[in-house]
Amino acid sequence: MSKYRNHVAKLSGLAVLALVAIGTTQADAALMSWNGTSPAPNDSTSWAGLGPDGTALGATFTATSTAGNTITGSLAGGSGLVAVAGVSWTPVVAPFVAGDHLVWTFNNATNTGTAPLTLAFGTAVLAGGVEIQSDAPGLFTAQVQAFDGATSLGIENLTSDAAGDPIFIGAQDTTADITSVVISCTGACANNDFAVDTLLSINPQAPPPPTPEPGTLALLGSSLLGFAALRRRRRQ
Amino acid sequence: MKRLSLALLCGAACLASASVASAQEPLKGYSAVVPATRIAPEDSPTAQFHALVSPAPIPRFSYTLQASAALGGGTFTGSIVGRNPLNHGKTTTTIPTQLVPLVITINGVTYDPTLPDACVTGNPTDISIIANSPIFTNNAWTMNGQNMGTTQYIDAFQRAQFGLQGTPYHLILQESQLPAQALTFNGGTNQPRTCSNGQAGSLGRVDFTTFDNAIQALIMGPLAGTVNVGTFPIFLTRNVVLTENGGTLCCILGYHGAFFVMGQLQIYSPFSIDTGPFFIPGFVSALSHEMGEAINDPPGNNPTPSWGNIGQVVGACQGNFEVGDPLSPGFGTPTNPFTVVGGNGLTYTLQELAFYSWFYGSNGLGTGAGGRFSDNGTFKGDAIICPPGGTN
Repeated sequence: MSKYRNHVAKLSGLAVLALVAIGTTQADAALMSWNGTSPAPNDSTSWAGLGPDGTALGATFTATSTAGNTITGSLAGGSGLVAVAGVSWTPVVAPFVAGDHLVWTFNNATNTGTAPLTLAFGTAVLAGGVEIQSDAPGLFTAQVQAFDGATSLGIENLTSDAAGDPIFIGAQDTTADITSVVISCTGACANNDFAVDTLLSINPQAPPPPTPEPGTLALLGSSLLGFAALRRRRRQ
Repeated sequence: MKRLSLALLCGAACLASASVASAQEPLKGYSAVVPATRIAPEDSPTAQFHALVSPAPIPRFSYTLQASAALGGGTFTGSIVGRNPLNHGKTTTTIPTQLVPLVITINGVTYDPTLPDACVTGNPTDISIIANSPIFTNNAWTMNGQNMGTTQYIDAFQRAQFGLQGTPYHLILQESQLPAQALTFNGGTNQPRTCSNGQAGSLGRVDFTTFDNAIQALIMGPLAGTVNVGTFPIFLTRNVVLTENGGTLCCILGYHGAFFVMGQLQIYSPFSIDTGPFFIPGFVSALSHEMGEAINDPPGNNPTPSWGNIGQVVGACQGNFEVGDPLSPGFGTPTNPFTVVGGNGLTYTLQELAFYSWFYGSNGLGTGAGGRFSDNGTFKGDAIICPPGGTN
């Protein structure tokens, strides 16, 4: 199963959270919030390639999505860290998953947060977003601002629950003109200190989500039937 | 109140020990604190430096806890050095810690921790004994049966009291040494004493207030800039202790203090290395006490429910988050220090320290290692509100 399908599965519960989103702002009538599940993403970018837990990030970093889109990240505060959920990011609360690599907007040399975090797409996308959690516990409001080049397409906000559990913050447009998203946060993460998980996107140039071939399904079905028959024979 | 009086801290026990010293009578060592009430004058070199440079202060986090019902249920707010243990991100916080040797002359007798110390096997300098102690070097720590990792003592304590074993949360004291500073006191006393190895030694005594004024003058004057709100200076004396009440209340082995510079907290801590040993063997019992307290009660007045009649607080109650005082050795309260042989072959003693949960009866910042309330098993329950005080 592809990476983004895993995330679609674990994000399904976020639809409920999206329903309680408050404070949505739209500078561009076409831009709307995206919950990362509907419409389904067809591309994802893991941060695992940035290095192991504790790796220091510079002011900019790059990663490549599963569909080959080049993602350039930049931190306003000049540096950040790779945090692995369950290692240096604990406790792990869904939808974060233990073992996920996170981009943590924090400089521990200066003990300061380093957001906003800008994620630029090599190929413009229809939608983009991330799971986000404040470093400090408590309610936070995440914000994503989408850009087409230097032009702001609008801003979407989403507020967490009181405990500050991770949420998905994303934006989608009617055309694939989002060249970057800027992630920021207020509330418990007002000091620009938060972490984001895998970047999900809808990339018109990405291949559609893989579906099982009919032949594969038939093979699987016949195997199951054979297994059931074998068990029935053994009982007899 | 400028600072907590030693009389309040130790009550009648101090008076009992305040009689004129005979040749080698046992001595009791106490700790004190100077809460942050003083403000550096605007025309002082330190204030002028901070106005120009605005150094980043030592990282602290604020906490608000509700004490348990048995401890009154009140709400208490304070600050602790390091990162909030409740944050999701766990990483290392480094505290620049400046070791400043004080060459003290009392009525013509000089105590110099930069010279070889004849009271110690191998005659190392006191500064090297401290720099190579478990306060600054890594050792493997097991606290209440839990593995706290290989690290410095205070870091192990922080990890234990917040239940952070197995995480990358660390609070590291990054030691550096500053040039020796000379202080001369004409009002103190010198008491000849014999070290445990038979060498002749001496114990110097200086008035607490006079000494602290001299330390603060150093920080605000000659050391301004090098020492700033982003650093933690600790001042080492060789066998010089502090007294109150005209010298009749003795002996303060160390204290931690703070004052404000341009609205930011400057913390500091003088302490005596006891190489006689005249009080407690193991060189760093007093230092471990002070470092634990300075980290957990940097302003010196983090409020707690009233506790007392335990440790060095005899016949009195106290209300601040001083993690060393309830377990100070030598006062009748059982305590269980750590003993560690350093890489230099010297045997170090580190004082047991009380967890925050002992003071507040709360698990708001995490459960202490092994479900205990101090770092080496002595406190199996939390404090009993004072009066009467004591511990569960």
